[in-house]
Amino acid sequence: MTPKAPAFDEIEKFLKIDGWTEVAGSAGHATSHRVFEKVLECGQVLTTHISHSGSKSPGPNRFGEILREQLKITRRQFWEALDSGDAVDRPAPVEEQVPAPEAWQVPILLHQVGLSPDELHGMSPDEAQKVITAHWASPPDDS
Amino acid sequence: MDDVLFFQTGFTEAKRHLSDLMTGVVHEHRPVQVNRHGEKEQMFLLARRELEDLLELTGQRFETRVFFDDGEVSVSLPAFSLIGAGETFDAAVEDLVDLLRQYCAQYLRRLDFYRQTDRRALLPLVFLFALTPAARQGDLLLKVPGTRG
Repeated sequence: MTPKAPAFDEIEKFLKIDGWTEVAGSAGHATSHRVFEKVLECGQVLTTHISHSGSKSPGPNRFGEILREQLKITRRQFWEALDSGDAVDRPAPVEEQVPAPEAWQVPILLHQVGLSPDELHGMSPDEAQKVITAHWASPPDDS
Repeated sequence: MDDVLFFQTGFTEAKRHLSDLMTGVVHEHRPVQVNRHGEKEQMFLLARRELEDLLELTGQRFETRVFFDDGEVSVSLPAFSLIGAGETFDAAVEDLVDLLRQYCAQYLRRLDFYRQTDRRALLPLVFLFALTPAARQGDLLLKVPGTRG
């Protein structure tokens, strides 16, 4: 089952519960994002950004990355904080990183190698590099 | 032994000869250290070209991760905690560039704050991005490792 991803309105609600501050001026910036920060006692700065379209939801993989790299919490802690109204205790564990190719590799894999987006899911940068190298090393297709 | 390696000048002297000083820095590639109140306050004058070389030679690059969801592509820049998204890969990169532009602008506005946090480590990449012309900023995210900009 695909894990549920919240709407950006729910992420904003979480940010209020968890004590995040909106970065001044970000709401009026030309991009479609509002930026929030939370400074931990250890001096670490957490940053996240939400879409102005609050009813929209990020895809499940994007939400996983938001949890790991921005909010730095687990999926369960996110929903528990929304239910309880209590901030998350930090430092908190984060879910394991899912392998993903780097941006420079993606156009090559899609347009030169001819893979589909589904085939790129879960591919690490090292695996992507091997596929690219093998493709470049193979003789040109005359057909 | 004189352990000062950079050419140095005092603040008042620098003001008086600013044009010559800038010519030396830019055209003769001669960085200058300007001192005020003895050496209590120091400022460095460096040509843009030297600064660009310096940043490139640090070897730091924008490390990204790409995710595909149904009808949505995300390009994540974990070091900056930024995630661009769009219906296509190109749209996601463009979104990330916009976000990065917004982030770098506020980073440079609040540098006094960030330099006291873990975000201090982002300084070379923020400068590199800010120094790159807008039309080429997206290329930084797609740069093949080990290649020159």
